[in-house]
Amino acid sequence: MKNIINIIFFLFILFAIVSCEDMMGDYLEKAPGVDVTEDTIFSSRNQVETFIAATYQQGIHSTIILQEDASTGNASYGLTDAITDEGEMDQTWWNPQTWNVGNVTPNLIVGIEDSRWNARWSAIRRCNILIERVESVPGVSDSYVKQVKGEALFIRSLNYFEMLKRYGGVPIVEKRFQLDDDLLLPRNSVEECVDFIVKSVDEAIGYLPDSYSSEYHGRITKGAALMLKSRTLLYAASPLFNTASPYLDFGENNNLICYTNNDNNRWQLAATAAKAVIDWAPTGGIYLVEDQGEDMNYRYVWETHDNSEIILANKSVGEKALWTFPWNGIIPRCLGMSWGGMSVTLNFQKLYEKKDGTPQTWEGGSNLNEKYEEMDPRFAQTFAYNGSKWNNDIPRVQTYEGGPHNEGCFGGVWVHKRVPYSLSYNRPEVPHIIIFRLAEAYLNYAEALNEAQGPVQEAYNAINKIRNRSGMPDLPEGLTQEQFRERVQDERAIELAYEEHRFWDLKRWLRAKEVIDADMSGIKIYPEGNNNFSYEPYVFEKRVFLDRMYLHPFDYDEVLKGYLVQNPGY
Amino acid sequence: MINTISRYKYAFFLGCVFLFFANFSFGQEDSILVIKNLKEKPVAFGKSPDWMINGASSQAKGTDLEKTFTSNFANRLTGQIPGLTIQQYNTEAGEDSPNMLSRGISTTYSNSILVIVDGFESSIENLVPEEVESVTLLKDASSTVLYGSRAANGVLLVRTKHGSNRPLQVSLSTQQGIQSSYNMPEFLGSYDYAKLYNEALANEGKAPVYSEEDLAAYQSGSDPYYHPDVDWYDEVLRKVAPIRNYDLSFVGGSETVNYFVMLNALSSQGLYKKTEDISDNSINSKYERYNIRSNIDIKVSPAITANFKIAGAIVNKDNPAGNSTYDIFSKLRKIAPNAFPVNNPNGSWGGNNLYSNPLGDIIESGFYSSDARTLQAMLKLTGDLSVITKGLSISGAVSFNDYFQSFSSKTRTYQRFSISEDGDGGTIYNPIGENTSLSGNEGGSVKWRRYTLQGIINYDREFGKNRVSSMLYMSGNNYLLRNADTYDLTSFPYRHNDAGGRFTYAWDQKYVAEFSFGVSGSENYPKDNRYGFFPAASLGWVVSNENFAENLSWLDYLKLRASAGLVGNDAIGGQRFMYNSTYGYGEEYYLGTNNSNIFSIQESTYSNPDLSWEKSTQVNFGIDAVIAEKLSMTLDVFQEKRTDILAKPYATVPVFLGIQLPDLNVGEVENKGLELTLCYQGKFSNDFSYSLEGSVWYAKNELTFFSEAPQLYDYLYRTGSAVNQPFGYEAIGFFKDEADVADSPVQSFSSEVLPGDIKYKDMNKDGVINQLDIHAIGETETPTTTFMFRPSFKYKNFDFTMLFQGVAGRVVYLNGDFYKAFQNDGKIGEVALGRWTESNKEDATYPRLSSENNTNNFGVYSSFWQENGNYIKLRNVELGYNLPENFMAKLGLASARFFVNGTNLISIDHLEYSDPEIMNGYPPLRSYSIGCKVQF
Repeated sequence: MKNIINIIFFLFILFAIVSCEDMMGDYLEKAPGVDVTEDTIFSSRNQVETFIAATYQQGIHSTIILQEDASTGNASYGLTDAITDEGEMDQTWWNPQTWNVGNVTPNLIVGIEDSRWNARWSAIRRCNILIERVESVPGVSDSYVKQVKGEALFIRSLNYFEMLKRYGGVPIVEKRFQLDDDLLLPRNSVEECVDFIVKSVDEAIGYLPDSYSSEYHGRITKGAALMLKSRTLLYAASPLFNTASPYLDFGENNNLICYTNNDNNRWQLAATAAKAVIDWAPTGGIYLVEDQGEDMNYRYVWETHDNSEIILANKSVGEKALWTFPWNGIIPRCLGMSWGGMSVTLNFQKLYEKKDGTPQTWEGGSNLNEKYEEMDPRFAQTFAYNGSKWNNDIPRVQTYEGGPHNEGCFGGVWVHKRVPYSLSYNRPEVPHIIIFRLAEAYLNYAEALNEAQGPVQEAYNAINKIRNRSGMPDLPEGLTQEQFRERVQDERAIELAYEEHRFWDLKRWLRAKEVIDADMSGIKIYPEGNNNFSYEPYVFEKRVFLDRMYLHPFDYDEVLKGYLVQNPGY
Repeated sequence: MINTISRYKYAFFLGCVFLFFANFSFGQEDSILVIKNLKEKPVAFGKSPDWMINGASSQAKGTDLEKTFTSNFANRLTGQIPGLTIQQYNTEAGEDSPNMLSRGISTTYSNSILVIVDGFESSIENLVPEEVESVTLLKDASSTVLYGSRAANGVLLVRTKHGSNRPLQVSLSTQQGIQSSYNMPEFLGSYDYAKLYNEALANEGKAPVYSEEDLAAYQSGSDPYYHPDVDWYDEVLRKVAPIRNYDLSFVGGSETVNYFVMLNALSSQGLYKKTEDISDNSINSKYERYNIRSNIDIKVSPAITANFKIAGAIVNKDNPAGNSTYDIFSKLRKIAPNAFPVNNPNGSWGGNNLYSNPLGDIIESGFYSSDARTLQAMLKLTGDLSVITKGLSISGAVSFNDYFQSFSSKTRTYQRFSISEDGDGGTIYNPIGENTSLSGNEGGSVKWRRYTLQGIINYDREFGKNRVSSMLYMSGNNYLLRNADTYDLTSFPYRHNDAGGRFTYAWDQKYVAEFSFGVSGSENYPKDNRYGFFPAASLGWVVSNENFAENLSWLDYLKLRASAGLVGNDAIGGQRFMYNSTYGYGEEYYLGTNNSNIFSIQESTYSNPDLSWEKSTQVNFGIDAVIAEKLSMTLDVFQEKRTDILAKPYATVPVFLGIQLPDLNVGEVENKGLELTLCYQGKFSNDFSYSLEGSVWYAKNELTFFSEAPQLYDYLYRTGSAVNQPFGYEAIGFFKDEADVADSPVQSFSSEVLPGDIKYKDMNKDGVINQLDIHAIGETETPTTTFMFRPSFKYKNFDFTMLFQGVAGRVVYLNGDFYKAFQNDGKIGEVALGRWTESNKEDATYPRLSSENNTNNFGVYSSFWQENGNYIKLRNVELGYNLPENFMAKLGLASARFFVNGTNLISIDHLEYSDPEIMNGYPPLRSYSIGCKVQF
């Protein structure tokens, strides 16, 4: 008996010790689960595609308000249109109002304009991870590896360009940083940033395909990379950066906000890059839309998805109902179930010519309907004015004093562009968010060529191509370089209106102070009976643009970390 | 990794070798010494004579815990153990687990104590005091270091009762009492509500909504349907609710078998009215618990002992209208007294579109019933290896600890009517909701299981004046948590591997030196960083045993102690497995001419490959003394520095890293304090003895580094303040008039600021009150000081005990609906009577009334709503009478005791309108009870 007990006892102790022994091996390894790691992602092409989708999602900015959710980085209440002469928001609480009184400060900047400040850096990180890891994915073709590298290089460069135009030089992050790396990189110069973008884009041009099958339509092509190069070089050649004396003297740090010299050859480089896009276009199946009629071509371009003129669009959202973002933020309150939209200043309306190519006068008086009849066909394709159609729910827009669509309509005319005419209460639409389209290349080319060589015929040809397809006559022959510059700038304002160009163009031309720091006018419209209306110009706002606002301030929290030199004046 | 393990395995075997070696070097003579303080106290993984313990620990006896009559065992510990702070926030039976802190707060994340019941990690909420011999709090590093990476927050050791070699003793007891609420909020009736609502409207320049006729009707109460005045607390709650406890235990034993067997039943019915008696759609609120325990020790052979313990609790909780009382109580606090009558003229339920009828809810909307059971089972075999060397023993143990809870939920909707007059004296009934039949939902909700294996070697022996006591242990622990319907990282098993040892050497009962260590490993850390080594050392000097002390006849006992050590806390917060980067689903992207969506997976949080546990360096000095056999004293002074607390490295990492930052082990907290206990035992006569026991414990912490983002102003930094220090706006009175508003810094929390609104201090003097003006205000809600005083008296067969407990260095925030008159369509409490008005500017104690939500006054965290949270409470008082022994003998009983008990009878505090501990929800409870205990 006693022996048996002893045996049981020792077996028990043995069991305990052996079990402890078991615990020594893999006992503390994490049990299998369903979580994803980086190695999972780079284990197959399908997984890599999900990571690329996330990189597009975060890396390609939007040119219209997308949503209020800041986590995706596409948040902003009101983009830059309403801080230029392009418009005025109907509700005063929108961010542009903060901007328009000159209240641009380091602790506000992320909230009022650069909401992608954080998202941009994580997009760049993802691009660097893709570049670093895509070669290691088993079983993918060499061309796929090249294509993904090209896409990553492009998105990284696009984000650098977006920072260059806002801040000047920023730190260049060419690899995925680890926490134990030496992290406090100083700002690179404007020149280094431009060179970095151009170098990366050139590499991407070598990797990217001209086009994709319809299934993959929307991915980055060689054309997109050529476009980015063109736009970057255009900005680099413009007076804001291409100068020895920047908008505010920054002493030894001048190279962070400009080239520190003026070199006219930069315009030639810009012209060559723009020409390269135009020359490439047929290869990628990209053509100007010219077959919808002179009164429809322009609208077709901004309204129709994947039309032949689009080189790159942001496709981060699907169908959206009338009462959700982005429509929420671009449809005027009195025209939809929204939070607010934008009216057009008279200052901007004045840029539009009459159909015959002569300026329109806006001195006040009767016959407003006739005025509208005379306008550049793009006027009607961009705006909703008194008497025009909004959509099937609102066939007649009435912005006269006391009219149903007058609330907050400071300019007297609403912006329609970006809101498809088919969008209505019962019909959701996919927002069309243009990043690059071919028309811009023509305008870039005309502008750069004029600066590099004067108003040569090729410059005329480029700008006339854009004018003619909307039924506008050629520019008059024999313009001086200055006159041509003025015409090409106005043409650019009209053609690329509300596509996130005007604010940055005004700044790079160093014209922001002149155009924005001014009285903003609108018209008041009065019914005269018989469906006739009179109008009267009036000033609704005096805007403020301070010199320091030519470049953004860096976020307050980031500057306190001590490695970034704040831009001058903040 | 294997190497690391092997190293400790070798240590284990080396320890064995050491024992053999020791055996020979000290020789074989045993001796017996006669000394004081031989009584044994629990220590980690065993017991030790008091004089040999160098660490800091304090203890409560099970019998003392019986005197606080409440359903949750943890709440019985309030004020009983120096160094242990209990913060109770909810009193509803089953929902009343308190927050327990040992020596205050030492980290920004989890401060929770490791609870060990009979040697294995467990929980204590469902224990009963009748089964508990003692509860010991191990406080300093040398006491807790064997628990390694889980020791830093203190360890609570619970020892349950066990049998001994004596005849069977049966003990039967019962306690019957009533519970009632106290410190309840007092709300104003309809007349005052309406009058003040009109005043609030007038403040905002709006027309009154209640006419003079309305006010007259409210005042006279003549129109109970259209001008009701309902006190919903009175409608839904009853004044008193019964609470009962029954206990039956058997204790005894023989040479070979000792046993302690217990059965316990507790029932608490709660404050709701008895709804089951009114409607078939409800059941009475109740909480019932049945505890069983069987502790059996068997001497299997002269060398082998087996300990076999099984304990369980079965908990049954029924609640009308949902799982907890939270919803009902929030309605009680909100619904205006004149909103609608309880019942309409035709007997139907009253209600409106905003709120359902709280009484209707508990009677008509179904019920929730939950069943939970806990099981704790352990088997331990101990072998005496004296055959190898004297004093050596080895034991192995296995323990299962299991919890399961399931529920049955029955719900239905019911019809209410909002009523209006039709103008002809009739009533129009507008129905809200519909009557449906009960629908059911049954299921398991929570289960967890802990499985532990343990092996221990003990060596305890005396050689002349030398005494050696040593032990080594190894343990593996697997904890599995399964919540219904959740699948995430918490459902991975939690595993620990632990080992440790303790070597104590004492000479001549004068000098005690001890070295102990713990080794801990957990799966939560990266592979090469998984195991930690934690050492501690201590010295003790029993001064009273020195020769020179023999002349000091008044000095019975004096011991000086010092200890230092490193321990860890592996409840570090954050997500599990942070050494991996995490990847999550992002927003979709759309490609192709058909705009088809593509899933996206993105890098979400960066890994922290150096992830580690919190480290705590602790130093403790202590004095134990007994003077003239009457006064005993214990004093401990400690200092702790907690490092490697997880914090975000905001201060240093630039944004262009481009990824959400992981928490890094960089935070630091310092904590220091003391515990002092004095106990005086005296006699007035042979029949009349008394004891006065008092303790005070104090702990104050400071956040010394938290890697904060750089701030514009020094006062914005949290570093340098206590952990959980409240930050907010400083209230500097009320706005006097329009001119005062105009001349003061701009406050834009609300759309407009009116005279009588709270005015805040502009810290940076920029003319605007905003985030840059918040700073440290008041003290934390965790007290710095806790004290207790326990006088007890014994006169002949009577005994009388009281326990006072109090706290100081505490500030509470008056945040409940009671304090926010008319906010969120709420009602108005008595506190608002001191409101600011044009005629009461100077003495106002409350801002002007607002009919709408007023963020300026009620929505920002400010010093206005802070109040001194210190209190003294009479936690229990008990008067008992033992029947005379000769009388007992005639009845064949061993003893019989009758007693009256009161729990939470008195509260002295600074809060005029609510309780300093429980400010919202289920009210604080006190109880009165009588009971008896018979032994035979």
